[in-house]
Amino acid sequence: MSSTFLIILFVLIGGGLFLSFLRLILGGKATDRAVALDTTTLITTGFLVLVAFLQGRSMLLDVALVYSVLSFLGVLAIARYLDGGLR
Amino acid sequence: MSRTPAVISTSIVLLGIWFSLTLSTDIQEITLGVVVSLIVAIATHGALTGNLFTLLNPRKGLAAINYVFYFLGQMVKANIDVFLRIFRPVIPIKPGIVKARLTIKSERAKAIVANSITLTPGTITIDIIGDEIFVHWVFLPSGDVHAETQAMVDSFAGRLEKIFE
Amino acid sequence: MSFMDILAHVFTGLGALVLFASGLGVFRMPDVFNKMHAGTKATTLGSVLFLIGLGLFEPSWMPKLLLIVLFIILTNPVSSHALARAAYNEPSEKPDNLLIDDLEESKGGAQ
Repeated sequence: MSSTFLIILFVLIGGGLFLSFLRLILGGKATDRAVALDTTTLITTGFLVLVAFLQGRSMLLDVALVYSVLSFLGVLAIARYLDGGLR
Repeated sequence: MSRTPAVISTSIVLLGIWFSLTLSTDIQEITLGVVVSLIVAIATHGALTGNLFTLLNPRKGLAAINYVFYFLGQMVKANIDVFLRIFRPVIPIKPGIVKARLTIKSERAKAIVANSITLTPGTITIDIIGDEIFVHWVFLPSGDVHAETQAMVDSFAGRLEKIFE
Repeated sequence: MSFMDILAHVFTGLGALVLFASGLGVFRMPDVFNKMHAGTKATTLGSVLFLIGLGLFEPSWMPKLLLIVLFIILTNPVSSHALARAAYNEPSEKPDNLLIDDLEESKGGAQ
């Protein structure tokens, strides 16, 4: 992987991460933030795998896997809370 | 013992996950994987996957492969659609929630249809009540909205019906 | 540069572009449901392409990456449904730009 290509990847993913995180901070309504959180965590998963690839540490793949599982559960919990609790 | 095929399918799937996580051929690891996946499959009555052995029937297997490729094609189309929408200076939207009827009865099939609709062009599923599915369009189709929605839902449900008998 | 290498570059490049588009979509779209369109579809295909592309660079990681990809495809629509229901059922969260709303009638009839 050439360094130019690597920079392009980092700019694109970092840009996506920045924009969705900005939406998470600026908000709107609570569900807007929740959707932004969902997107942020998924892009972060991709970012983690990219870092794992760069450092050649396959351990970070497990981190990415567990991160995606926990983010799914977290978003689900937030959604159920916004829906009025566990009924 | 009617759940036995489902339990075996679930434990095979779990064992596959175990192998892709450990990537080891060590006899101890494999034994542990077999034991743990069997315990989980029995404890959940095979509810994770249901009976996958019906897919060994060539007609159903082909229907399943057909569904997967149709779904992947729709997913790519959906992303091109999202992509072209987002980079416009003014995002063209005409949102609305439209009702459609689900002919398919199995709960698992309903869930698959709902998830597929969420990942295909211009639509997400909001809710399913009984056998009615409520679909949100980012840009309502011109012409008869209800007929268009019904056709879109049926394009998935029809293909799934061939798999679920 | 081998064919595999070119394919890997195409996959990762497209995946990163789609992930960027999803971030931009979530930032720009006006209301919850439309944000969800960008946030669900684009992140799903974006992660799939990106992770498989990196798997082509490093084939020994492929099984684990495919596991993450499978998990994302299966769970992403589910969290989107949960959020959509939450957004619809809470009056203060529900967007008011819907041109047609069949669900309103059904809910009204049920209660």
